[in-house]
Amino acid sequence: MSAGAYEERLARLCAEVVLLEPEGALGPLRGELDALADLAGARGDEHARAALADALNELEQAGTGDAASRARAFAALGTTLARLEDAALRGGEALDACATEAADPEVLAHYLAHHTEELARMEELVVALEAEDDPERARELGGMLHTLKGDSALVGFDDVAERCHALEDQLAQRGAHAAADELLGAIDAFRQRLAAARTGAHAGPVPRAPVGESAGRAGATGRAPGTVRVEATRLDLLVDRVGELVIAESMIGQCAELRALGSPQVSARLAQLEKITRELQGLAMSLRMVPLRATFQRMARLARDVARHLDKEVEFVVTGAETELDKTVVDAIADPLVHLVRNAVDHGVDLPDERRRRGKSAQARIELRAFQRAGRLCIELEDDGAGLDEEAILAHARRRGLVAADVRPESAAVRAMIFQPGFSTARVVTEVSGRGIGLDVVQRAIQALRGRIEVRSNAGHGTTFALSLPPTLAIIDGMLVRAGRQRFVLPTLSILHMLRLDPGQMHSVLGQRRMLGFGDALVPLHGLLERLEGAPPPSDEEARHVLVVEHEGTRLALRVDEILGQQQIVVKPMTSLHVARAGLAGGAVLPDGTVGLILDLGTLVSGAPSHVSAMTHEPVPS
Amino acid sequence: MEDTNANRSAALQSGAGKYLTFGLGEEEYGLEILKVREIIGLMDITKVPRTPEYIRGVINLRGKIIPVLDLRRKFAMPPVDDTDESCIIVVDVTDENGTTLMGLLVDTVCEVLRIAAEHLEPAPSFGRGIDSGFIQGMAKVGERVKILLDIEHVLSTSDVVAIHHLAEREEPAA
Repeated sequence: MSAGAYEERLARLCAEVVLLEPEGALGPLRGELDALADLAGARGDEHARAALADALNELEQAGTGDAASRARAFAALGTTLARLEDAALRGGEALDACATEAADPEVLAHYLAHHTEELARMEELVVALEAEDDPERARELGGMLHTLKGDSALVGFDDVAERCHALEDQLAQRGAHAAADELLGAIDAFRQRLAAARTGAHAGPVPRAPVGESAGRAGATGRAPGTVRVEATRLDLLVDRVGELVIAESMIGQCAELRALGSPQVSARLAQLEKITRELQGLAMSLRMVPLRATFQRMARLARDVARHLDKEVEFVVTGAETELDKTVVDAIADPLVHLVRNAVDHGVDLPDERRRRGKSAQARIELRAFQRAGRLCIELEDDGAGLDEEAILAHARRRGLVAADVRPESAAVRAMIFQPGFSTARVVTEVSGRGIGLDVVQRAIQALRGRIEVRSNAGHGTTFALSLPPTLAIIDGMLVRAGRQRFVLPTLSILHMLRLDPGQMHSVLGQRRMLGFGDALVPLHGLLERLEGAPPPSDEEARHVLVVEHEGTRLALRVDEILGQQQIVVKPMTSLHVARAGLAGGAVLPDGTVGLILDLGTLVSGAPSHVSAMTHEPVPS
Repeated sequence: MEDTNANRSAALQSGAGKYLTFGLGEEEYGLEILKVREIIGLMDITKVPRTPEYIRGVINLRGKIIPVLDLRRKFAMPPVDDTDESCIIVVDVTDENGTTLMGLLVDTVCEVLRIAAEHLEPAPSFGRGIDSGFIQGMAKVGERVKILLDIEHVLSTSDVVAIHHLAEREEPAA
């Protein structure tokens, strides 16, 4: 409004000033210029205000001088006013343009990219502030709202700017805790608005900057300056090719003919080639890695919304959000996590009254954490609710005929039943005190990632779902071993110790030599092929090399015929053969071009593959 | 019964086309050429533990790991030693998970044949509930009968045991 008044008066003065006689009275003109300078100051146009003040000053001085100097002063005033009008018009034009669509594409792109990210942070802040007041965070949130308001006005997103303004008021008057719903609602709306603008920007006539142009131009494709968008398929291809390079490099490195040359020059160059290959490989792999933060943040928001909906009080704690993993895996675990988080809030924790009755705090606590262990990525979701009702689960399983009436499976087996498809109907959910919405779906999704899911429960004290995902890197450090005529790869990270078998170290249990003395403890000792495919145990003279491996706290000693050495292994999927059931994590192309099998220690250690019946499809509830 | 046959021959009309033929023992089989990616010589095959016997193992096909199916074993024929003529036919296999590559280990690869519709016959019934769905049809070429395989069906069928008697029974009739 003030801008309109300023421009109007400026335009009028511009028109009038040429009509004014330099000899005329200065009074009305002085008043007009004063008012104009005030208006310019009010709209923050310091330059215009100063120019008007200068012009007025000159006019006053000229008023006491001769006619020539008065004429000069008038001319100067005329040009000043003309320049200001021009500037005001251009400014207005620019503003109008922004309001429609033609905001500078780079500015707009930067705005969209920057604030899309900022919205996630704002959401995080609101959720945190709602749980616990924190002046520091409140200030940060206020600052972010303010910046968003200013930037939105700049690119012509006046609706966003106005809503930000209202939110700022809300925040100041009521605090983030009370205004959380409005804030989160607005954040969602902004997100949609920005997303729509973003796709619009892509669909528009602005050509996408080809990769390789300056970072500033890349910004026009919707990312912050300094980043380049690359299609995921091309990235996959790069990682794939680098994998091939690693194989080719190790083939050359182990080429007997080259070694026979004994040339120091060749060796030095090979070493250099190897070094570069490793670096390139690390770089290629890192391109796909993203932190879990965004996914975890989504879960915090989800937990908050579901809890609000159900009138539950839930403190949602996130740890390890900076853990990085492959983008495809991050994407793939999002849906299973949504299931689990919703379940945890919905069924895992009780209503405040019920909790008080059980002597717990009214506010439930759910923790989502990520961490690396033994080369695997673990994600755990723990609640402090009532835990699983094993009796109810068992009763339901009996009714469904999954368990015979006279059989009493172990607790772990009972808990595992919640992953059976039959436990996924709403009716059952209430019967088994609420667990089981689509847990079979969750399990399948995790298994598709070659991962595992387990549930731990402590009656009355809570439930923990533990996801364990295999090393997501397509290239791992592996130990190549030979058992019989086959070669296998073990992830180096899982190997505690390697030794040559001394018969004195073997201890007989129940008449069979099955244990290895390792330190102070005894570790089960098996031939690798015996463990893997039920081959007869090796005799004392066979398979004299032993690898002591550890997986999730369980140790196992494996006897092999030969340890061939450590190398970089490119993991290749072998899904069509149901490798998970065969105790394998995948295949690897070895330096001689043949395939080595990568062992999945999880199944090896737990002993799952030692029964051939596992090959059949039928669920076999014992 | 006549209806079924009519339907079948209608289906077979579209089955006319080019086939890669290969030998297993005394018999000749055909695979639709469009399914065949390439033919490679025998190479080191890595046995995969606890897979069915008819899975010979896996090979590295230019960086891709693909399984190799021993067709003799799949058809319950007596095993023979690999020879210089033994080949792996790499085929596209489409199932609900998409298209994957698979190798078929065969005794020998014969030729690419154009088979006209009038030479095609529906698969014979083997009786006693044996599923013959994995046989797309039979082709009479000169004096020989070629068994045209529906490779997806072969992979999903466990009931292909009796097939190796097929040609012996069919040839006199042809």
